[in-house]
Amino acid sequence: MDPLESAAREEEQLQEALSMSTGASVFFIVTPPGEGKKREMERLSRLLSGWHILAVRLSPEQPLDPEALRGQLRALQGDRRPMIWVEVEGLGVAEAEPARSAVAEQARRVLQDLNLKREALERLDAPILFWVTPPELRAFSVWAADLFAARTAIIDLERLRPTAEKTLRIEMFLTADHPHSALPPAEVEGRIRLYEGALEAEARKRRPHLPRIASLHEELARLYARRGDLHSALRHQREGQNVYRELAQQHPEVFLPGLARSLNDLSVWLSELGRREEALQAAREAVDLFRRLAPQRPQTFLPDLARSLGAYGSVLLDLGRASEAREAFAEGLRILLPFLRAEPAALRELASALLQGYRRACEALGETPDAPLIREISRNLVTPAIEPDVLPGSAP
Amino acid sequence: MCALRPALTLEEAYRNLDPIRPLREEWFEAFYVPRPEDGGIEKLLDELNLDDSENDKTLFSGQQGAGESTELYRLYRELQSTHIPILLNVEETLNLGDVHYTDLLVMLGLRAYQEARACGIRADEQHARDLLFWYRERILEQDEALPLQSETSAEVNLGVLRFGSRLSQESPRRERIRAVVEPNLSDLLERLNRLLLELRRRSGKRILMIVDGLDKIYNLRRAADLFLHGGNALMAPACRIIYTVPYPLFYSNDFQLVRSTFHRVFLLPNIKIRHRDGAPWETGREMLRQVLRRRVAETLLDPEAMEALVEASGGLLRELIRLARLSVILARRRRDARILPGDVAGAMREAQNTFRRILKLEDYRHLRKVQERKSLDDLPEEVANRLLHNLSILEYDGETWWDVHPAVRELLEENEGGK
Repeated sequence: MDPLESAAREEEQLQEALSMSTGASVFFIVTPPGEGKKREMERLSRLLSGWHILAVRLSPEQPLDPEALRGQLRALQGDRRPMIWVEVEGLGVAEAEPARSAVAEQARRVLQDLNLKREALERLDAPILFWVTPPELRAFSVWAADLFAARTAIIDLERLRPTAEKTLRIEMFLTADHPHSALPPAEVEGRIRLYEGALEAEARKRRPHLPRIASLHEELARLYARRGDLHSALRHQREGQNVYRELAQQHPEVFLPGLARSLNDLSVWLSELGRREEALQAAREAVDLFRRLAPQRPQTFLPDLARSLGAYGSVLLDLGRASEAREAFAEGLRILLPFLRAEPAALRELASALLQGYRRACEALGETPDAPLIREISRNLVTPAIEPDVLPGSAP
Repeated sequence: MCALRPALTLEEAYRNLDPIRPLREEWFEAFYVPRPEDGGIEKLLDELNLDDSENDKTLFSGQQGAGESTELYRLYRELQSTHIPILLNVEETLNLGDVHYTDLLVMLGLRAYQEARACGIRADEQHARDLLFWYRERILEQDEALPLQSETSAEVNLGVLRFGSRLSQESPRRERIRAVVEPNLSDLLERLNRLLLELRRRSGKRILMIVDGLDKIYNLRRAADLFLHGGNALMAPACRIIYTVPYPLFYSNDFQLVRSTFHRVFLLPNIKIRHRDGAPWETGREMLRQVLRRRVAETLLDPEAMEALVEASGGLLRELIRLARLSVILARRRRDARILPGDVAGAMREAQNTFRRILKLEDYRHLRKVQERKSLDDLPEEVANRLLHNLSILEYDGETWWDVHPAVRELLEENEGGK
């Protein structure tokens, strides 16, 4: 399983568990250290917006007090169900060397104390999420072993960090016409330096050529994504999109397609970084723009509309809005079908991605996919050497 | 809350398969399954019933998640016709990071007073008055002593609770109390024993104290000190007492002397699912199936999935419940209404990933030896303690043989290179 899919599954697992939770249950959320933890906490808090999150800290200086938590839970108002988030800080030292340092001793004391409060935590009657790094998880397994053994699940978000493999998949989904996936790492670095230099040079000009600046930003976004640096990719994509927006206001007939494509790509980077509400907004705008453009030049813009519906559907699926996601993917597939028949080699990758999304949405809803649609798409996905009737879902 | 019954939906199954909730009262009634004859406390129950001793002391332990608290609770219930069982959960009243035998005896004395009062001995009767006088004069604050003299049991309970809570939280107070108690210990024990004998006389039943929670002391040196230095005093109360002990302590050299001074040592075994030679042990497996059937209707659990859960648990009850709950989550995520073997496999992957995270590279070598020899021989004491504590090694048949956790088995195959 690829890391992206794996991380998405972990989150789904947590949401699934929380949706059934009626009393206390303990989860450990494993994240990268430092900013990584904060970022994941922010992201997950948006996903779990239906809950009232009571956040507390646990560190060598700050033990957990179930009685105080009980008081805080009682004071909460509103209809949302409460959930406790324990941001763990600095407890990894309990297992670190030198083992006899004062801070390590203190960390152990805090964890042992917590271990003895298992029953008090159980009586809080709310899900408890301990946000830990891998060393902190190990420390829990030793010094708060009873609490650790009574966990419901460990949710591993550490793997959400972008990897080259993941970036490749994103890129293939979005920009089948951009051959970066085949670039060796040294070439990627070389091009980044080249285009950054070009961008600086263009920006220094008295009258910079804005379309060039926009396209350089977009190129850099793809290269950074290839390198695995999604934050830089997002920064460049946003810059490019801002420039296209400015240009589209002056010359919509020329630059609206560029803005729409840019928004589409932006939605993917935002989504990958867990900023799904922003991703949804960008994807929706891209779909709206391509809908406006499609009647003018259907041959050109309908495949783009299908692509943007795919990105939109993916974000909806990530947000748990499976029914809307299914509609978006299905519409994308129906729009794409005639083009796929005409040019299967060019659109096979996009059609596969849409089909996969559609199936996942149906699966999430517990519904049977539209068999004729799947059959028709699948038939056009095969290479001529393979007979259609060997594919799953194909009619003999 | 709706009645507890085998779950008919995944949502009910999630509730019933709660690994953090102790089996008490209605949960015990609904979900407790007797263990196989040689896998439970029957032997201990028989011994306690047959032995006519009035003041024998027993050490009780089991591997974490083996069900010790549940079995002690069962013991507490089963012995009520012949004993006055007094349960002291030290997690709520002592600071186990800093526990001393005098703290324990002070709490035992107060629990005995509380029970005597509940059994009808009045505060102004001589033995109760004598014991309370000792506490009042030496260690109790005014707002702790006054409720203890009250005629209502709620007030007495409040006094015990208030003192216990302060003892566990206030380190300077603990130090002061220890300084007072140690030189006056024989006086305390004398007064306590007179009250215990009076309670025995009036009730016609033997007194049995069950001290649960001492097994949670992870600092083994401290735990060993408690029994080594406090051994004589802990043997002194004139009643039967069962002390829980941290499981890894059983394997420490320090503890062998302590073991021999107690009347009885009972190690609650894990439920064996295989014999030492690897052949399945149907009795243990059936018991674990029953545990699942009590909590989840069979329509919800594919028979192969049930077998896979039994196997994956390694015979640890809490692990069985935990893996089953995780399987429920995975089944629901698939939008299915039934737990299938694939869901159990997913839950097992979580267990493997966890061991992958917490095991050190050199552990694999030791674990491989245990897997091959089914013994802890040659394992350094520190390593054995750690691996027993993190459950990567499981003990069967009461210290007769050991094996690795089923999730660790596959990791060992993965790590052939670490041989």
